Amino acid sequence: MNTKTIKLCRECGKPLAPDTLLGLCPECLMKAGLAPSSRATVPVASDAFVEGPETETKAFVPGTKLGYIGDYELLEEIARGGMGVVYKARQSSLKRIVAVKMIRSGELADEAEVKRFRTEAQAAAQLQHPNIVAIHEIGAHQGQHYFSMDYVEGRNLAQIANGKPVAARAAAEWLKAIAGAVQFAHQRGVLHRDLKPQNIMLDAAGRPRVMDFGLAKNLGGDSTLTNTGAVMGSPCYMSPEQARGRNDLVGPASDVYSLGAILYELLTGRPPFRGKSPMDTLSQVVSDEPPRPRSLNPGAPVDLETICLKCLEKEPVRRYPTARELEADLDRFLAGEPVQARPASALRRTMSWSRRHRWVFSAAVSVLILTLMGLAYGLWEQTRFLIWLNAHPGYVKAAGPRTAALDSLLGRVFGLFLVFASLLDVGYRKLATRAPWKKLFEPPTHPPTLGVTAAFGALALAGMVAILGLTARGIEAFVWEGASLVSYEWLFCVYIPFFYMFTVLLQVVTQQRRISVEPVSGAIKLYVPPTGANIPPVVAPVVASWLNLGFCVLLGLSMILGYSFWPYFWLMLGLRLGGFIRWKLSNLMSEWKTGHRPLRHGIQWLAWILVTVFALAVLCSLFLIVARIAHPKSLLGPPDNLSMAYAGGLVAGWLLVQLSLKKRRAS
Amino acid sequence: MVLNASRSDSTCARNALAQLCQIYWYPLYAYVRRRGNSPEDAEDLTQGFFARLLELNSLSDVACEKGKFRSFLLASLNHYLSDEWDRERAQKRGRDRVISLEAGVAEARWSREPADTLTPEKLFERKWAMTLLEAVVQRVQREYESAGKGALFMALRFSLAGEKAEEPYAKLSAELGLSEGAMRVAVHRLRRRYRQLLRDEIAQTVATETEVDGEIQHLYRALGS
Repeated sequence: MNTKTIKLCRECGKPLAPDTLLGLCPECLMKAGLAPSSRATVPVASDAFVEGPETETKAFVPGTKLGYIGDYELLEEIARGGMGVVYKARQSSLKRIVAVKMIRSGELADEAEVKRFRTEAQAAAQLQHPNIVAIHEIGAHQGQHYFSMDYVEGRNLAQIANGKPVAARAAAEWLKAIAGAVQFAHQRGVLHRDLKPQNIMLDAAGRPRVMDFGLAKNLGGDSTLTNTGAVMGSPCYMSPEQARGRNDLVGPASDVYSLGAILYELLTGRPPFRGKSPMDTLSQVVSDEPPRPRSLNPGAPVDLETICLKCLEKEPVRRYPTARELEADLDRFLAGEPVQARPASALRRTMSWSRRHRWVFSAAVSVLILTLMGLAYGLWEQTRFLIWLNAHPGYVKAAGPRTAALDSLLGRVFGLFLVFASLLDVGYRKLATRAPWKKLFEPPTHPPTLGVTAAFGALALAGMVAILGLTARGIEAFVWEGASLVSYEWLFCVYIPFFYMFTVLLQVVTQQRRISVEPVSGAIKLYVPPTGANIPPVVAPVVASWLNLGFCVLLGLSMILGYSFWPYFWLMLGLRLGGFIRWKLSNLMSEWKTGHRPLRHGIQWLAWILVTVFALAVLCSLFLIVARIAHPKSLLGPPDNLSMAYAGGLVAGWLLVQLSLKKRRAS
Repeated sequence: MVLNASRSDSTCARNALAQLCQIYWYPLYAYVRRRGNSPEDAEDLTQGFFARLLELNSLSDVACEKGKFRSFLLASLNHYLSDEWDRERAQKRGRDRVISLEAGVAEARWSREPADTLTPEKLFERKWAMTLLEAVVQRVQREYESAGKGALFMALRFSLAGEKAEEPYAKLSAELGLSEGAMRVAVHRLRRRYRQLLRDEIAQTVATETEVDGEIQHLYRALGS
């Protein structure tokens, strides 16, 4: 719940500030300083009641609670809230028991507010309805405003629900009666504006009765919200338009919303929204969808859930337009007839989701559009190219000696390189951790000496140079004889070893100089670790592992498109997203972890995968284009339509990164 | 202390005044802030005011019949704000540091205040009363702590404001390991000591002993308004 409990002074009953004066009441502290003889002469504080209506001049000890207010003899204090104190009282002239509510001084700041309060109270006093606690009289006593109303013996709905769901049928019946009362008031031009379980009493006959009609706006309403959250009531039942301060939109539908929130609490035992602070709750009220009641209490009837959620719609026009309609639908529910409210359709839910998540939505749409555009452009280029090729048969390339030489080389070299790179990697890890083999992925404890490091680095570099040489020959065959650069063999023989070597090289470098990668922007910082300091494990994506992953995705895509399904790709992707592998910045090594990352991390990972893959794809496309310009004779064929789709995705990835940045800033 | 301070131009008077200022700077700061000054200005103004006060030794102006140190400070501050400030700001900004008012501390405290609609004068009186009470309660607490009875103080501190306890005396005394009678005596002693210190503290800001009760009543009303 959001309502903060306010401690009250045991002596004078005033609310206490928790953190000053050891939680003691300043007024009572001050009073305690009086000499015993002079204590009785303390002038009456503004909230003390004077004994007898005519004896205002008589000094009275503050803290005496019970006395007379006007015609009313105060009998006992019933309740105390942000707005004021409620007393059980006897009206002397009519000899009847009533409830008297004193408005806290300071609640009505100026004359205009007092006037408005009186006008509204007069309107509310016209409401004579069996389910409304009638207001008898309003008045002022020693500058303090009060009003008297029916005394209802019983408990309020909050006390009855007490955090647990109540029987659905009883809830529906109560709410129907309350809705009837609210409709009655609305027809007479009185809005409640602060309906909540605390404001609804269940009398001895089990009849719900609504209190404080028309008084909420001036008292303890939205004006006290930002400054004195402690005093304010809970915003849990406030409609979104009230929460946004759009008083111009507040109308009967706002009370319908609050009725829905009460029904929600009766069904589930909790209000639709509850945040860590009042402000938090308010922002939830404005922008979040409440969890479905049946997800909290599976026993709640579907129809009642539908009715409840219709009341809780963000837009007033989507709710029941009047309390009467709500009452009628509840009636139908109680009679076992089909209700008129309909659950939101999938389309409506999607639309409202997209309105609340504009960034994700626009990113998704841009991905779709750009992908389609890329594909269309690719198809068009391909057709043009084929037409052109028909007209110029001499340009058709055929595999020749270069391709043959390369093929045989690739076949032999691939295994060799991979084994070489793996041995380098494992050897370096082993040296750096000096741990048993099964602990190979632990952070390094013994960074190897500079000489060893240099040797490993040189080996890795040599491997990379060799692969680059292979690449050069591949490009030669590609340019002259049309051998594919993105084929299955190429991916295996060149890209895998290359990135493996790159990883090894990065490891070697970072054992001596740690690299830190800013997880969001991807900025890389190089710095020398302070000597002797422990290397803290930092979870962050690392260039090498991203490149590794990127090529895995590339490989996976090529598999899906042209070859067989390749499980490794999915495994890597799943592990990366599920968060079972953590890449440690300190050692560039992956670490196995169980448990899931929150979704936001998932989005971030996804964004990074997209960016990495598409950056690679764009580089490939650029290379193709440059080669085509530089060597027109070696016409390379159409731009890969897949690359165009990648380019679209790059934009999408960027948008997603922006989104995650935005979310991070917001939190 | 006021009596001390206004009596002579000795360094003793100056020290007494400085000591008072050290305790009561916050109500003045709050007053200046509520009058609409920025945090920086408010800090400079408060410092400048105290500097001027000590410089002129103007406490000799505090005539006995005028009574209260509180009213005097407020009146002087008002005078300072209207006349002196504009003239002095140009040359003295940020120079006088008479009371150890750490930068940001005052503003941090001010920003924690709940919003209200009090006039600056009312706010000043209320803050004055709160500051006074804080000082006195702290002093009682320190006394108890230095006597090794800090825990007793914390357990019985409720009784400073009144005799009603949250839990029955029997239960409380059992927790403290005292007999109920002994606890009642302890409560009585604590209340008596507190009252004594509160009255002493107030006596330092008024001219005569007889004014103490009046001042308490005045501050009580200020707190309640």
